[in-house]
Amino acid sequence: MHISFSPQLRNDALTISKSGDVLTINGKVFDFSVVGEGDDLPEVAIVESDFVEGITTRVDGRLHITLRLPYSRGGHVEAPPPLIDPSDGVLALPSLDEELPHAD
Amino acid sequence: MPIDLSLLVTAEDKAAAARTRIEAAVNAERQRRIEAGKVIDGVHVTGRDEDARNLTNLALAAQMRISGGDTTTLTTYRDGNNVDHALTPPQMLALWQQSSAYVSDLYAASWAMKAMEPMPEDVTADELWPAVSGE
Repeated sequence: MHISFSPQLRNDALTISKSGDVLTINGKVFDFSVVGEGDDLPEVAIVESDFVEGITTRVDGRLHITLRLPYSRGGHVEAPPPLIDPSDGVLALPSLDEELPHAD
Repeated sequence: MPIDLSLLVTAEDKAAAARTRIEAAVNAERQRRIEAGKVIDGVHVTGRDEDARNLTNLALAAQMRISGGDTTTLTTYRDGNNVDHALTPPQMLALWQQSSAYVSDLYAASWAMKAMEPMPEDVTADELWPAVSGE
């Protein structure tokens, strides 16, 4: 599984656990094994969560999915690197709300 | 159901849609080439509907003349470059025959392209179609 992140300024939080191609996003279970090789699952097909962004697809057997990653601090936020083939279990998501280092 | 599977676009759906798009492009290119026509024995024969109807009528008249033993009466044919050509009945008939054969060749080329697997990406490539000038 290849999980990319798209930072989004919002007030809620995101927790994800993974079991194979099944992601549990904030308690809702999404079985992405329905996405076959070369298939496209558009964002609008994810009816019970707005954390999935764009098209979810499968390339060379690997599911590619983009998740909106919440942050609440101001300033420019870079997208963190993707998670590639994370182990099953609760995913350690990057935090976008850490203190920025002071320039002085 | 947290995922609406009716919105899933399968790889087969995508391939079929791509094929439909390419087939439409083949048809459009075929029609463009029919209308653009071909230079036959120095005569630029265009293939818009009115051009084809005109040439068919001239060929019919030429055939009647030939049947009556007239092979010399000249008929003016204005070509796609607005050049007038004085043609005998056999020349007019030959022009129609070659023009008709060219359109048949264009159709055959388009059918061959649609049968290719995979279909060509650029269906406008000249090498996929009959030559537009010659003879």
